[in-house]
Amino acid sequence: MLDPVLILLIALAGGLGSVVRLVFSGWRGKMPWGVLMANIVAGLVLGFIQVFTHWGLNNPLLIGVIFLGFCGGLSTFSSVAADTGNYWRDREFLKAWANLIANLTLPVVALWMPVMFFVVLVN
Amino acid sequence: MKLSSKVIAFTFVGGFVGTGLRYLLDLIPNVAFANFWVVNLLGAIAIAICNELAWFNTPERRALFVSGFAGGFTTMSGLTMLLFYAWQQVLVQLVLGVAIYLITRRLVSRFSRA
Repeated sequence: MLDPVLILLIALAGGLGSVVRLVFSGWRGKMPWGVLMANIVAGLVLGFIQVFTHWGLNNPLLIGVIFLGFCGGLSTFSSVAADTGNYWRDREFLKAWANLIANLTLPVVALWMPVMFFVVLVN
Repeated sequence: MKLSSKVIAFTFVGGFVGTGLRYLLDLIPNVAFANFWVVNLLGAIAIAICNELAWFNTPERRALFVSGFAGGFTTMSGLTMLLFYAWQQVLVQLVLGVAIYLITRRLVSRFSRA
């Protein structure tokens, strides 16, 4: 169902997430560390959402705004595809694969960290 | 890219529109996680066009279209969640995203010179 307020809130959170990613993306050394960091932080936030949901603190509106809006705006697929593609074009195959694998695995590890600590270990 | 108030504002607007559009696509009945495929592969095409055409090569336009719109429209956090349900789709989508990015850049480069 179309809820204009929800759409507005999700879009605003996405704009905010994009600005945070922009700040992170200034961190570029031999690899695009800032983009990787943005994806990791988004994974970490998702992990905390899982923990709060497990504890029964699940407000669907808030989860929608944080998950679809903020985390969606903060994380990015397009930059990962572009950076990896650019490495591939420059025949830097090791960096291309490293970028792809790091952006695939590290956000998952970040998601699991709060879940493992708060749900599995503390409980 | 230098962080000026203009660049931040353009990124916010691009992210606002991209995220809003992604959410609207999310509302369409979703079969086999099709919305992730649509947003991420369209986003890979969009960023390839932006990176290839000189018109996009100003800080404000890059902020609006690349950091803002393409970044907000595509999602890695959605893929991180999808990994638990259909990891094969995530792997294929990542590799395909890179391939589509490279193909689009080559096509845009060829047609923009013609």
